[in-house]
Amino acid sequence: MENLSIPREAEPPSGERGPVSQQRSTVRVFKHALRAEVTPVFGTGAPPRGLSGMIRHWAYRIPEHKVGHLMALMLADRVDVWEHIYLPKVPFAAVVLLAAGIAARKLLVRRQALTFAPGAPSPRPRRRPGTSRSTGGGRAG
Amino acid sequence: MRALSYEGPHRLKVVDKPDPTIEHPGDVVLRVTRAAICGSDLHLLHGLVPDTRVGATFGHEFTGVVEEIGDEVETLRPGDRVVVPFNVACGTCFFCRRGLTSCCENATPESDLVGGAFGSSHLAGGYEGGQAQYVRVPYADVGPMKIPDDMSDEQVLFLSDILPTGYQGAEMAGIQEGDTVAVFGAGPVGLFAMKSAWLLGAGRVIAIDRLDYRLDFAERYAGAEAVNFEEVDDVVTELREMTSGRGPDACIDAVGCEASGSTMDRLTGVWLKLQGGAATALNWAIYSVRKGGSVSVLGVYGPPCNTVALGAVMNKGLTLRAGQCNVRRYMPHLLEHIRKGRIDPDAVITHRFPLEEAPRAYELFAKKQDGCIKCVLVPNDGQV
Repeated sequence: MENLSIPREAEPPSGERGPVSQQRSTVRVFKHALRAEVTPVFGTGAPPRGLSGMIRHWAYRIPEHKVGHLMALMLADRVDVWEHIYLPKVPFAAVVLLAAGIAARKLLVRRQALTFAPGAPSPRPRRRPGTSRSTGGGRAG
Repeated sequence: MRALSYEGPHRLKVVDKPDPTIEHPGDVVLRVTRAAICGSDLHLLHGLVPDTRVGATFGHEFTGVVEEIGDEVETLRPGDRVVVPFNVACGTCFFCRRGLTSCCENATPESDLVGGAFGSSHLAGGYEGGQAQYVRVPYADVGPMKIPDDMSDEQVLFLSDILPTGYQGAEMAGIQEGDTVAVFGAGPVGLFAMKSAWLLGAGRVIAIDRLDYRLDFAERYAGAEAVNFEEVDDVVTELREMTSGRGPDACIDAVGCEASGSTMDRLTGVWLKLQGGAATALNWAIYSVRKGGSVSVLGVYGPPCNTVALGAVMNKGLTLRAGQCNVRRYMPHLLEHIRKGRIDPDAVITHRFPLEEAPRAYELFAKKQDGCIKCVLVPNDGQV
C-alpha cells in the first residue's frame, strides 16, 4: 500500500544558480538596521511618502528586536491614514462648510430684512417687564 | 489595471493602479485568474501588522497566466498557467537550500524576522498582492508551479498557501499512528490541518470553534468531532474529559491573533493592541494537550510579544513548533493528494466574487456571514 505519510518532502534544486543580480528601483526601499545592503530583489508597492515616510525612515534605524522599531512603524501607519485618507478630504469639507456658512448668513440677513420691512407684521414682540415699548426695533429701510 | 487598495484599518477600495512591470530579469508578470481572501489578509486589514501602508494591494493566494517574462527566466513561457506560493524566495540562499523558503534572506530588506510574501506588510518585502488584474512575481523560476492541463485553477489554488500550511501544521505536530489531534479553529486552514492529520496517521481528530456552521462543515468535510467552546463550561476541561482525562496528544492552533474566547485577550490584543493579538487559542492548546505532547502553531501573531503560558510549556514538557509555511516543498506531494482525490480543496470555496466586489467579499468573510468559509475573487473575467 502506498505510504501517505511522507513528511519533509523537498523538491530537488533544479540546478545551481549563480548570484542573483541586483534589482534597480527609483522608489525608496528601507532596510533593517542590521543589514548592510538591500536584498537583490524587493517589492516596490506603496513606497514611503510624507510625514509617515519620515517616521518609517526613523523607525528602520532602530534594530527590529527593540520594541521602539515596531511602535514607530505602528505610529507611521496611523499617520499614513490621517495624511493620505483624512487630510485630503479636509479642504473639500472646509469649502463645503464655508459655503454653507455664507449661504446661511445671507439667508438670515435676507429674512431679517424682509421681517423688518415697512408694513411687515412685527415679529414676536419682546418686551421688558414693566415697559410697553417694543425693544425689537430693526432698521426699516 | 484594477486592484484592491488598502485605505486604512477596516477600509478597502478597488482602484486604478499602474500595470506591474518586469523590475528584475527573474520576474514574470501574471494575469490573475483566481485570488483568494485569507485570514491573514484580515489581520492586515484590521491594522494589526506594522508597516501596512495605505495603497497596498493584498492577496497572497492566487493563480494566473504568464503574460511577460524577464530575461533570466528559464522555466516559464507566456501563456503558462501557474499557481504561486505566497512565499517570495530566492531558492539559493542558506535557508532556501534547506527547504525553508519562508525564511529566505534574499527577499525582505526591511526585516530579518520574516521571509518575503506577496500582498503583506512591508516587513515581508513590500510585494504587491494578487487581488488585482495583474501581479509581478519575482524569482519566477523558484516559486510558481505550472498547473497540469487536467486540473482547474480552483483545484490547485489553495496549494499557494492554506493547504500546505495546514499540512505543515499537522507535520509539525509530530503525529504518531493513532494519536488524538485537537485543531483549534475550523476555518479553511484548520480544515486542511484536520485532513492532513488523518493523512499523517491520526486516530481521532477534534475540531474546536464557536461557529456551528463551521463545525458542521468540519464534521462532514474532515471527519472531525466538534466542540463549540461557547456551549461548554470550559474547553480545556471538555477536551480532557474527551480524552480520558489526559488531553489530546497534539494540539494545532489554526486561529492566530484574532481569537475569541477571552475578553481580556481581546481587549489587550485586538482592541488596544498592547500585545501582538489575542493568544487565547494558543493558551487553550497549551493547557489542554497532554504532558509531553506537541503544540503546533499555524495561526499568525503580530509583533512584538504575547502573553503565552510558557511556564506550562516548560513544566508539561511540551514540544512547541511554529512557522510560516515553506509552501514550495509541499506542492508536488499535495498535488498528488489532490489528483488522487484524497483532498478536495475547492470544496471549501463557498463564495466567488468579481474583483470590483472585493470589499463586500472581505466583509462577508470577516463577519462570517452567509455560511462563508472561503471567498475567491475572479479578477479578470468579471463573471463568476
